[in-house]
Amino acid sequence: MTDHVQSRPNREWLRSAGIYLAMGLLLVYILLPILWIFILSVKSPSDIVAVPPKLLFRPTIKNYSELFGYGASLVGGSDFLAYFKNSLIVSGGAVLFSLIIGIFAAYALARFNFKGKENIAFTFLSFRFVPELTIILPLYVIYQKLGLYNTYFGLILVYQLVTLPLLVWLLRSYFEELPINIEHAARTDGYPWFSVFWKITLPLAKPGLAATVILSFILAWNNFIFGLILGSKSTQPVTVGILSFISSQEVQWGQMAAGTVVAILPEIILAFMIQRYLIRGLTFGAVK
Amino acid sequence: MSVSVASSHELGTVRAKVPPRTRRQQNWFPFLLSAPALLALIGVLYPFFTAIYYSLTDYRLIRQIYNFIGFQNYLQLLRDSAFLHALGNTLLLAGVALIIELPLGFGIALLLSRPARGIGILRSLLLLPLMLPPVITGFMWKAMLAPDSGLVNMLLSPFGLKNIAWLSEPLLAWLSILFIEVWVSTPFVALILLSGIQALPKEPFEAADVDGAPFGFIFRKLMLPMLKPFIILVLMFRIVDVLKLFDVIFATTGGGPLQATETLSISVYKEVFQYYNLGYAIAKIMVLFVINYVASFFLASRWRKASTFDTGVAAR
Repeated sequence: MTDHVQSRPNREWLRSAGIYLAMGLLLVYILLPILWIFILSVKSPSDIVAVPPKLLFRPTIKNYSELFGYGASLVGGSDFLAYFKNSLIVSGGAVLFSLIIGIFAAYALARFNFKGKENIAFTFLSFRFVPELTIILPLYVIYQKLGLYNTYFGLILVYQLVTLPLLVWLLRSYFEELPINIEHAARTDGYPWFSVFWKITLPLAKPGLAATVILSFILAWNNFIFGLILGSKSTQPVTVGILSFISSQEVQWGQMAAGTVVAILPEIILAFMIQRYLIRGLTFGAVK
Repeated sequence: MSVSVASSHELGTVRAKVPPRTRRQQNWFPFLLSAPALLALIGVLYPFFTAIYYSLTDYRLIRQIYNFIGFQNYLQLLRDSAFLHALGNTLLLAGVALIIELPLGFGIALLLSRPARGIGILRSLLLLPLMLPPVITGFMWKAMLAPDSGLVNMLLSPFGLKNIAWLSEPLLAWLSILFIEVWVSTPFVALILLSGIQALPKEPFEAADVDGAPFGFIFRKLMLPMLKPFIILVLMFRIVDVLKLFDVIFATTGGGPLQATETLSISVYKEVFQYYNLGYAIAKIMVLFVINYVASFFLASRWRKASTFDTGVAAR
């Protein structure tokens, strides 16, 4: 092998140069838009509209302070915190609700054999593949009749389309990996089912459980269409709220950019915390 | 609704045996555990069946009364050139996007599969486009593509290209949407295929290396067949998602200019909230539902077949 390399040092060098070039291009391709939005968020309005775009400018935090309601507030500016709060309530509530109703189903699907089991599991999975509009257009009518339109509870219910299948399938795959012998031993010693589940199974599943909860939260946070159609200003999440910076006359790039940075920062941090589990999560446990 | 009804017995990873003590519980206990989630299932099926019913009516949002009209909405779809345009546009966009994303994602996966300095960081950063809300990605690219103050036109200006109106020329707008979709989704393709490549057994590749097989041969005869379940899995997730593409378009072009970027989902949204034709709009989305259903059903069964080989993908 070494002979081979030494006989053609140039080629080997070219090869690794090519690899690093490709890596560099990939890095720029991914990061550039995200960096650009960050740069916009610390530019003053006059720098933002400068033609050609200024790369050297005096950074300002004015966009951020206006976003949180200080100083001269523009359209939608001071509402941003309310949208942010809505996102927290709806996404958090949706994950909690899914966890409460889904965790036992996930366990049952992992540990028991019963009639129709795979059909039930695949019906959950099929939520992931159904176009959301199929469900939410009739809900738009149904919710208005039931008084669920533009309520946190109504949104939390419909967000189950996103969070529940993910949670059931992922937790199921984590439960299946746990050795069943420990549970058997505890059951044989006479402990009731629930205390075995609570004191043994859940603590063992903790890392997978945490990753599942965080990923469900991120996907709920990212959702746009449910809030757009089934809510209005008082319950809509931040993904819809960002729209208010784009009025028909002009786009308030600075505040929109600042809003974007604030809206994506928490989930980027969360995503890096669970990055080992992400691909498994995004494929519903199919890729381990 | 269910993606798989048939062949549940062939899904079989080995399930843990139920201990003797609980065998009597077995009949009702798992159903009791699943009951809350099953209720949620019914909660979803109810609006779904309502949707089917509404698609057979002349329901308009601005009217209280509606009539059952049978399949008239669906027949109307066949004559509706705007709908056919949106349908064709959706399929074309999905097809072209996949043709770009799969090879590009594969290339990136191969690049990231070998050790190099900084490769770990690059792998982590690749997660970013996947984690951002698609609608916000749309806004981000709208800022990038702004004709006079956007970064893209600035980077192109040394080449004599100036003030390109990316999002207001029909063809350019279509290509911009395609480009954004590729930016969002290629990392997903790359990361799944990377997991696949990392799960490949070492021996066949070492043997091929010793025999001096060229890379093209190794790629076609070893790597591709072994990665088949991963490729099918990627296709399954990508096809259903790109067919219902909505957020990115809503944030950038809104379907325009001149319906150049109008996909089925966008056209359905407009039908409801601009023209109030709920029944007709639901008939449109049912067409997408059927396409998605058929595609995911087909790919799911292919995937289960392919993943019965021992390739690191968990078969169910």
